[in-house]
Amino acid sequence: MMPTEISKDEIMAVYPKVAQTMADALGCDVEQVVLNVPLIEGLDAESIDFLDIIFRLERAFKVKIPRGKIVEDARGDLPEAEFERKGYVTEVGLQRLREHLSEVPADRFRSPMKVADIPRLFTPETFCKVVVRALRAVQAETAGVLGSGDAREAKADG
Amino acid sequence: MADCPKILVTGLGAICAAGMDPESVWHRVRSGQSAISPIRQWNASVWPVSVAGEITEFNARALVEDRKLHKLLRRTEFLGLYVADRAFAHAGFAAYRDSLDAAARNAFNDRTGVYVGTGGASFQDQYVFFPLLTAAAGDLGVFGRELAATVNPMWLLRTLPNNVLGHIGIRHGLKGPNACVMNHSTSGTLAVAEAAEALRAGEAERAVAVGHDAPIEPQTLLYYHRLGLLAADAVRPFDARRSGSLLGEGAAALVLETEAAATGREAKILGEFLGSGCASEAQGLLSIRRDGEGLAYAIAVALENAGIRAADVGMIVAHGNGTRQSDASEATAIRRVFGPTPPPVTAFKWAFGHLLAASGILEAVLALVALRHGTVPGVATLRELDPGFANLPVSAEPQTPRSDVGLILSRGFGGTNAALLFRASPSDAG
Amino acid sequence: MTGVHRRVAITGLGLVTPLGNDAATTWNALLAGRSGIGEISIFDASGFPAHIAAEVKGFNPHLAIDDRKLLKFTNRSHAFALAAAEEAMRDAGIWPARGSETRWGCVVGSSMMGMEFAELGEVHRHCGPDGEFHVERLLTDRITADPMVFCRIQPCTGLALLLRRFGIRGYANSVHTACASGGQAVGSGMKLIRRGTADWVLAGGFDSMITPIGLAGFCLLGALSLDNETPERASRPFDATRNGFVLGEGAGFLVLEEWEAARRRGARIYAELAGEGNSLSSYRITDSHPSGDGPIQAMHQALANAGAPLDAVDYINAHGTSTPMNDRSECTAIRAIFGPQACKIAVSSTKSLMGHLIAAAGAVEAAICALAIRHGILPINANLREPDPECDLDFVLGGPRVMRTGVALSNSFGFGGSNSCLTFRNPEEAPG
Repeated sequence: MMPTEISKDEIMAVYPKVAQTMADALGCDVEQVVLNVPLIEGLDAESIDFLDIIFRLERAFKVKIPRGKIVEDARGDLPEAEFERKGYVTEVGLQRLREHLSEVPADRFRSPMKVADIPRLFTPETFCKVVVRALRAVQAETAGVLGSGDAREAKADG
Repeated sequence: MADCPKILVTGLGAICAAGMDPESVWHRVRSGQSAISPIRQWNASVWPVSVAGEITEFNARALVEDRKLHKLLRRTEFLGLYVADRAFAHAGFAAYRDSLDAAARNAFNDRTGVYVGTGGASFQDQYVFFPLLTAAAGDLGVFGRELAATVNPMWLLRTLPNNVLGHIGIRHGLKGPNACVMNHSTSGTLAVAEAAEALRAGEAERAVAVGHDAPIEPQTLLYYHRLGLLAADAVRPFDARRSGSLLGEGAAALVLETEAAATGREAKILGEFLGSGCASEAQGLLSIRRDGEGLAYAIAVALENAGIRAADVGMIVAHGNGTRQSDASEATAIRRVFGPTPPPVTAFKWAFGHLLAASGILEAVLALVALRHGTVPGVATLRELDPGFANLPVSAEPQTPRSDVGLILSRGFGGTNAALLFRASPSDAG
Repeated sequence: MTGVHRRVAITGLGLVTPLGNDAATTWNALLAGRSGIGEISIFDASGFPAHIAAEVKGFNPHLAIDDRKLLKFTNRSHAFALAAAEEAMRDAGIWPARGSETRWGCVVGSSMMGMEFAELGEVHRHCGPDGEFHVERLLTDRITADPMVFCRIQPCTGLALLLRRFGIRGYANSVHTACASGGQAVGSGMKLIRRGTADWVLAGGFDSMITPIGLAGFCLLGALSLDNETPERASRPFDATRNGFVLGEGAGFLVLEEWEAARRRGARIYAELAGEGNSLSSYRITDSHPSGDGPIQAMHQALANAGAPLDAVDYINAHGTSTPMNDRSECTAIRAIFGPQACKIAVSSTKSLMGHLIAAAGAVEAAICALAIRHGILPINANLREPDPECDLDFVLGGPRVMRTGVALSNSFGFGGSNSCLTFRNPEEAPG
């Protein structure tokens, strides 16, 4: 894991394309996709939209974004059992989330928080960071290093 | 049905090759001009059948504004949502609901049903898997592993047969009883019947019934052709030289309302639902009984359900799909029920093709418009009545209905027959 | 038209499920707490994100249906339907006959249409070997020349086969509201008898989406549990660690009969099908409303429709898919309706053992409710080990609960927002 800081420049470099991709996925105007709008409350995203957004970002940037990548990266080296307990994010897990999702205002991290509610925190900036990391991974891969992840959040329900 | 409320029609919507609203379709039909034209969705010029009732000016964005839906829905669904919107507006529901307080608005939504007849999935939906099948080269392991990178995650949702039902609900906030009928050409017809029965049973005060279908796609066309169901150039119901049907696409919607609800808001009354009947022939998927017994029974049930006699019927809109077998058994069924002097008979598929799941409900909408205009439109493609159908009062020329009651017939795969009876209210436009 | 207060008896049951190829075997497996979930064997699913499912096992359509001609038209789910319906009709001991055939109706919750995978592969071989679809090649394609293929995949094929098999000549309808299909079909059948359209109705649902395309669809949506290493634990409705549903397949059919007619002929009555609630959530296509809005109306109506007071309900066969969102909102809905009474109602989701049978689920679970009433035993909600504070109901845990049930409810909620709730009443308590 590489908790390397992501600079504002890196984010702004990918933001226009991320915003357009999100506007396409959410059926809204690109102007509405401001960097810090909560996607669920602000842009009416539903759970399946996150899957669609990730699929489209993979296409747009020619990167791989494994399902559940955001939560996986936030958890980092913390064992899963310490990150969540019975469907809720633990206090230490919440701390990891705050650090990882540094773009999200502190007052939006409410405790207790269900794992299933983590996507409520996501903003366009969250996905800009996902893309930046994925692009870095591509570069690392060409340099012979591999990255991977596993599935988790943004599940459609039924 | 003494203790049942009267069920009134207070809104209509329609779209097909012949027009984008019931009146336009009516005028086109009345003019005797067929809307059958060369298929444009793909190059069908070398195909055994290259014409259909296609909506040539199809523009999904113009039909349904909501941009987000455009990544999720298919042609057939835009047609269904469009007619539902139009019928809802025609009934004046939005303004009425806005006039209510919050509690009454919630009650309005909870007490409004949505009944949809749909054709189900299309073959084209599955072609998105072709690049993946190519990549997998027969190896399902590869297919499974590459899946998420190749196919849009929303794929399954695009193909849900009940998409129109769900999205009508979401768009209009309706939460009442509902059904999605997937029963070939009786789908829309049964959606109307089920909506009306829900109102009679007190499950809702009003309901929107919709039928939609867009079967004009390469693979479907080929199958229908190879089953011998399609004509080469025109649908000629009851004609001696009829040779089959032609596919059409479109949708129609009816708003039904209990008398108390409709009069309570001083709604404009377009007609009355009188009754319905449904019967099966139990012969398998494609066989049709020659004696017309299933259809005759469906008509008899509808008459009983409506509490009227055969002599009260003023006009029959036949299924008239133009195939040799179906028309013949239909003529027999009409004779069985109505004896030697049936009321004027017409059929509409010559004008815009066979809309399958949407056919019966579109024809019910047109029947109401026709009766309100006091005219039974002619079957313009009819040249020479099949001599086997002597006494069947079907004509290329317009006729005058015997009364304000219309009988609409639908028949589908599986040997299912459905009949609807409506009474039209006098037209204020004359 | 006949009298206004016609009531509906369940006099026949038939099941083909991942737990057994008939009702008795399925019921015994439920009581024994045996799971029907395992590695997918019908095709090589090893590369899919989820490669476990609840398959029907050892099913031979030729043994179940002695009509080879009919079998020519069937796909896997139709064969399940024919077998389950046959069992239900034999169980009821009554059959359409001359004179009664038009008084029989049939309503089915049908599987979504879809080309069979093998056939899609054939079309692909001709028309899209480079990944692009070439429409003109369809003209020479072997599959598109075969009318049998077309006949098998019509959405109404299952219905057509049942009508022919049993000679049903009355009302016939095929409906689909995703996972609510089976429940809505059974509810619709009940109404046909109530309103006098039919005296007997064969009602049920059938589905089989355990195909590469069906599995792909649900995998893409991220709706399935990925606990491939622990298949028997993967479906754990209401457990705090639940993480998706497990795909199942099968069919369930009921013979519904006008109450007095059933009594007159001395039929065994499993239960009264006493009410139905049917609503739309109109919130999102896949997400359920956190407040339980939608299911709440369905359950309210189901009780009102049956004339059953809140405190009469002893058992709820929950929709309980084992997805985080569904189970939470279903519990919220149950609590909203029953208030403090909620904790006195036994609840279980039999999907914990047999997976999610999609369009068949509601019909299969209706049959399970009828069996629970008849035998006075409630099946367990398996795999619930970590209680979820948001799902605090009286789940049937550990082993089946021997308990007389007066009134039971069965919930089914579908993608697209359709909700079905059915009310079953113990025949001993049925008025009159």
